[in-house]
Amino acid sequence: METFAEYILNEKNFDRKLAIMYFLEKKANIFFNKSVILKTVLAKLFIEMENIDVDENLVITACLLCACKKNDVPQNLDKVRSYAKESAEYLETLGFSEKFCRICEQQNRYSGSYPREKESDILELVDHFGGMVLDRPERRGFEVDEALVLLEYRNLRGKDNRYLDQFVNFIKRLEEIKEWST
Amino acid sequence: MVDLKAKEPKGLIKKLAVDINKTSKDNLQKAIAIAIEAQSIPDIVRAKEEEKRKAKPKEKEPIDTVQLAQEIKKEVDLER
Repeated sequence: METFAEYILNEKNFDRKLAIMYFLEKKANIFFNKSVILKTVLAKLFIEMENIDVDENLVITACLLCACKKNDVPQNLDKVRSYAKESAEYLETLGFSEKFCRICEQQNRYSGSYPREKESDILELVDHFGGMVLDRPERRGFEVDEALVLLEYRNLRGKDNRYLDQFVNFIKRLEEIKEWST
Repeated sequence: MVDLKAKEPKGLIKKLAVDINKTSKDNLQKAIAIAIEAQSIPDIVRAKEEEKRKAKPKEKEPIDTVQLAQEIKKEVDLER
């Protein structure tokens, strides 16, 4: 019998992986909302279009699950600081490897886990950027160019993220293509 | 209701964010559908970039400065 970890990691089809998350949220009451979906799409596109040398399936799965113990109350600063570690601990109980859990824990830098995995740098970028471009109850989403400036000169200033420049260029490249909203 | 913000085309990332933003908190399936659709973005980007590359005007031929000088000189001499 396969564990939940094996089940979702063996599912390489993106559509079905999202469906697994949809039902996991209902059954296990984990955190899974539209911001997680946007961040995962950004990670997927970044890896594919920039040919990033990582296991795409693993990063996508980590992106979907790394905030599973987050809650919807951004004012709770203790929770903001602890959810990545709590999520990693929870994921270990679902059968995920130590490395997978470490990647998830390092989506932000609150736990101080070091050295950082390269996959975590991708999670960190999409977490910051995706969070900024979406609306929140207390503010509207930032414009893409504003979010890029904040990402580079505020959020990740002085932090060693190996993909920062490449990610900024990738976003700019996609922003040059104009489409009508649905 | 008319969406005033929809009057201009948006960059692909902004469009993705706006489309996902519009989905209801209680209807994750809509956001999932947008994510699935977003898988076509690399093809869209490649096609548009190729289109742009083809539409780019050919480099202008270098100016023949000797000929230019002679032509202007002729005009200037006529003015005298």
